[in-house]
Amino acid sequence: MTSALPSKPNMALRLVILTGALMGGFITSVCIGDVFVAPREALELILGGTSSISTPGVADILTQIRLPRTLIATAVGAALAVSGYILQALSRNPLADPYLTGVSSGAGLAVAAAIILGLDFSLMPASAFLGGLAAAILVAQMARRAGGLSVTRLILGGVAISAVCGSLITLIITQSGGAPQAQGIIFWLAGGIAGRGWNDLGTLSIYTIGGIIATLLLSKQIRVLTLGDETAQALGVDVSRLQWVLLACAVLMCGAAVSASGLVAFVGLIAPNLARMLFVRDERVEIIASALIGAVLVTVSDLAARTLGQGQELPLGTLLSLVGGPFFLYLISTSRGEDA
Amino acid sequence: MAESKSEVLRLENLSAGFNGKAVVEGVFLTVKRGSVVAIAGGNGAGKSTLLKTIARLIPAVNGKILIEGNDLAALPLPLLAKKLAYVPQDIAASRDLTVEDMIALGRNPHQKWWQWRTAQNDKAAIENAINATQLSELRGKSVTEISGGERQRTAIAMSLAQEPEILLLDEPTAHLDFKHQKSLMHLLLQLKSKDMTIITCLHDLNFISQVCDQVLCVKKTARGPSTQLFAGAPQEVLTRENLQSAFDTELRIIQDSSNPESNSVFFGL
Repeated sequence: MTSALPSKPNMALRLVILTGALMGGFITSVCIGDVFVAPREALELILGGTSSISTPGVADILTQIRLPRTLIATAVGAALAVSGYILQALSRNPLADPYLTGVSSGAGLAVAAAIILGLDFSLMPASAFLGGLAAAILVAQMARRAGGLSVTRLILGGVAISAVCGSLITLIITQSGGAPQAQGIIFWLAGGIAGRGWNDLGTLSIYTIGGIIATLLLSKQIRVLTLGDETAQALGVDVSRLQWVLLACAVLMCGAAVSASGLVAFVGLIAPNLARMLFVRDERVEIIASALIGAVLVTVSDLAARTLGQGQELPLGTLLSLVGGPFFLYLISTSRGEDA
Repeated sequence: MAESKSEVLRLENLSAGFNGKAVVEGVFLTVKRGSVVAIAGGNGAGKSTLLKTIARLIPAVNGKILIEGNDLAALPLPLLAKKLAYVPQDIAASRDLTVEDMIALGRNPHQKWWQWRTAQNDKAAIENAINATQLSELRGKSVTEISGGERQRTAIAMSLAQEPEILLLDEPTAHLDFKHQKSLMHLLLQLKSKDMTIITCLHDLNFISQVCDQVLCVKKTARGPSTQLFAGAPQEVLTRENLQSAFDTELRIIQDSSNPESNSVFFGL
């Protein structure tokens, strides 16, 4: 029987709740910090541009620090989640994500190299993208076999690439001779959005919104691809071209996210899995839900990262891994060991 | 109809295989529009490899495939998918789709790549496919919850929704019980009457002799790749000698005495 299927209004309700959660998390994140601002005042300032806040400097904190930071958290979460959704669809494996497939570490290595070479910060997204793409191409080449990608090889190759990139990043840091940039890399590696502003949001939001729209447009082809490479091809899908386009979308979004937030793990793994549990049988809804869940996760985690620490911010990536690690173990223990 | 006599597919010295290495070689076949052709042969003789090559899922190692006189290799993919549908032996059901959702994917080559909406002609094709395969009661069920035979019928329905000119079926009876094998026979004859051309890998000689106009038999050779052993109308080529040679085993042919016209072929110890 198909009784496990939630009815349509139920799915709509869940989407509304998710959107509400994102808006709630967003407002809370903007309001809470060293200085508390009432939600109504914050909304007035954000939406109306008029401020009834009398304390000097508070309005600036909101518009110049918290608002861009929260927007970046939202975009990073959405980008990583949809990137993970694509990689899971491509590999037909719910355990795939930007980390396991090596994309994040490749992007990470490129950004580390860019920082140490003193490149302008506006070049970070591009270098993260190129690094992620290079890692993805390497892994995809290793995973390539007649008629598609091998899941086992994709993940094995991804783990190997991650290890190599991680070692190279460590090498860069240790060999930099105590250059101030090395500190920047270490800080950046822990993952976090502290100190990011409006300048970083532009590129990130373009990549994120563009990536999500592209993924939504490709959602029908993603569904055809679930039938297997041969059947998809027999239905007129240029399978290898589709795989490359999807991989490029995933790498673009992940690269943009990594360049803005450093290594933030597990969002790309958790969000799409939760989305598939909550919303079945419609790729379009799953993609939107993944983006929303990812955005909520990172927004709330970033809020926790900057408010729960005693005097010092907790690293966002570390916080998320603390939650993500056990969830990953749970997934492994319950997945049906499909391994083709 | 004069048109129904026209040649729709031709294999010219075709070699099929993987990575440039032939599994089957030297196949010649001419297929007329509206005919049913069986590819027969022992296990590992390369029947499926041959079928996949005709579907262009793998490139031909050597030789040529002509579809309506044009080189198959040069046909643009979307056009190919409108002319030719392929049903694998087992279809992946990794995703929790309903039977109807899966059948609707057969419309993919007729739709824009981003299009989810099913237009009026898409709906009609999907309904026809569901009716032809008697799946209306299962349409709302998940493909992960139905039996192998039901999934096989769903895959056939999906290929019918594709509205191809040529239908390629890999072992379509593999998971079917007698009742559904019989309805598949009726379905193939019905499709044939609508001028659809069908090429299918089959083990069931009884099925072949009752439904097919032509049978192509491939057999492994001592030096490696299989070759074409015989090809022709079942009544002519499904002789005891041919079959014993094809399958390397003792066979007897028993005609149904109550219906001598039926050309039934059975094997017995």
